[in-house]
Amino acid sequence: MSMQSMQAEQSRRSGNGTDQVQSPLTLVMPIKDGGAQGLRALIEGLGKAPVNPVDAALDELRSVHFARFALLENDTRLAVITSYDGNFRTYIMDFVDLLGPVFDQLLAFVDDWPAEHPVQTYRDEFLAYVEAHDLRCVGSFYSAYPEVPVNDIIPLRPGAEG
Amino acid sequence: MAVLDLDDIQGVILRGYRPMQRVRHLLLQIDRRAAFQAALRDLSTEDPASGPYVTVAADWTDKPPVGVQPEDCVNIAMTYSGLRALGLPDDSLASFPDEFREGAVTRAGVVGDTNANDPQHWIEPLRPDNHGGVHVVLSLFARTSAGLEELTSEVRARVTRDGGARELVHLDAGALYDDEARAGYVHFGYRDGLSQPAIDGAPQNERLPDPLDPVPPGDFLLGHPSRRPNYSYPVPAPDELGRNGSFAALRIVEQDVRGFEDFLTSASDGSHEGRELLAAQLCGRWRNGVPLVVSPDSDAPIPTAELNMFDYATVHPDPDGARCPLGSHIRRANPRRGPAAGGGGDKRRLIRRGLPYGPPYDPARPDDGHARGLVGMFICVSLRDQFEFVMSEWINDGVFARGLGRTKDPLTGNHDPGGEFRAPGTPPVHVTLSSFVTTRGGMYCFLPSMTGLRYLAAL
Repeated sequence: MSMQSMQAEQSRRSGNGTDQVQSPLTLVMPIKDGGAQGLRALIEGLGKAPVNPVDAALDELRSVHFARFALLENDTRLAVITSYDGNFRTYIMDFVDLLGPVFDQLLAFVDDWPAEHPVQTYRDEFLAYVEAHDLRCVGSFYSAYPEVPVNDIIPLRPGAEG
Repeated sequence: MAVLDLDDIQGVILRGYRPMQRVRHLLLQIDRRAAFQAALRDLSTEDPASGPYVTVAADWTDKPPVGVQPEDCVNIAMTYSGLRALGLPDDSLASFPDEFREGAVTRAGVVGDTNANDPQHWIEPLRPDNHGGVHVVLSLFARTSAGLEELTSEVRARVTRDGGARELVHLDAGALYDDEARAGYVHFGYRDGLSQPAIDGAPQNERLPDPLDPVPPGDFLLGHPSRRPNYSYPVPAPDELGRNGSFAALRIVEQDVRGFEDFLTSASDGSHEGRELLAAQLCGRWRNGVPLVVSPDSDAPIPTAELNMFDYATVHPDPDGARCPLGSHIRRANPRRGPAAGGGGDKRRLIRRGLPYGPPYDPARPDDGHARGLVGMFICVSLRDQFEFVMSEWINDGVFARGLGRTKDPLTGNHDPGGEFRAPGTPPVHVTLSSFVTTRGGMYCFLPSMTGLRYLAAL
């Protein structure tokens, strides 16, 4: 962890006047020339699978509130937009355990990630890549319930267990 | 099953040294590198003729003198500044993980060593103005106090010979009681040390089995596959130095026994039963070690083999904390298969090697002036992903589990300037907390393999 991110972490823990537990991820990656069609098909295919592997992984992770993909700028950029609890760096190992294979498929369409590097094997490199491509947000990050983590939302679902 | 070279791995990583209930950690600074390297050569040579030698994880009775159970054990760890003092080249130093290179003082804010726990209040050799002053931790374990003194004399003479190293301080700890009935009891009156990870390929703890999967050796040893899919933690260079090594956070934690006992009285109805139930809710075990999730209403003894036989999921399910509070100490330090952010609570295991210091607390003499606490090591392959994660996310925060908010571990969390603990019940438990423990020192250490020690001795 760099000194800068450590200071940010300490500032978060000290509360800094708020008990906000959620953070934004706005991961924007350049798509390879001609890759948009295949990428769109891949992402739509994930959603059509009997069990969407992204949904299954996020269910298990229990720290992501919302997640979606979008193609930006005439299909030249892939955006992964999420709201999650805690510190991305702190949970990177778990994130990669569960989503590494999906990201391998996605990153095959991205032009600045070495395709021969599986995410689960190149974890530090993947973290550095995400941090370099995360636009977070401009200005403040709004949440209707900033102090409530996913763990406290799930039990509120009708019929929810655990 | 994994095959480990137990002759190459330091014993303290994989064995509990149960017969050795006296320990002394010598904190050394290297003054003359060549002289200390000569001592290191002797310590890594399994020949009693050259004096005490480092204990490995292989069967002790196979070591010279063959067939004899040893009276003592020796282990050695280096700090980052120690590796530098031994002459490790820059490219090799740079291959160690960032958190180890930065050390415990720099990382204090991550693990909750703030306010009263701040490094400026630590024992003098570990304070920020002496940062990097301790190079080596020599841990001496013995069956008896007399044996520990004898071992200390021999080792001290060896490491200080020709001005090789100087001793900055030594830390003593030992079992509070010698009788088997009270083995493992620590200062807050709990039986401790019951749960340790079972490591694939290592000697197994048959006394206290648990229902969790054995942990791959790469969660504790460099150069082996970890539990993370397709991932082994990077081995510091060169391979002969890093492979089969591990990392440890050495901690000195003072315990306010009087404050804790007074709290149990004031925060409960004051009766014996009320105090003991609150003590059990805070810890997750009754003080005799019986887990609440197994026996929520009674501390009646259960067989030793059942003390660890639970996972909150399939073996004694308790997803809501109805039997054992989600915020209790043992559900934070090791959530097992209970729900936890990150995909489950069984991915951040730590090997704990700790013993109490200070005499047993006597309620009739609450102001006897003795400091009490625990000194020990948390051993893991990644200080960042295991020790620091557990301290920052599970001990000193609560977002990982349902309903805990920003609360902290009731027993070991940093509650300066104040905290709270809630548990279900009739009526529900809601108590305010102050800190019962204070950090008095921390160090990040590397535990080299025997091959690694010989490499350092020959630099």
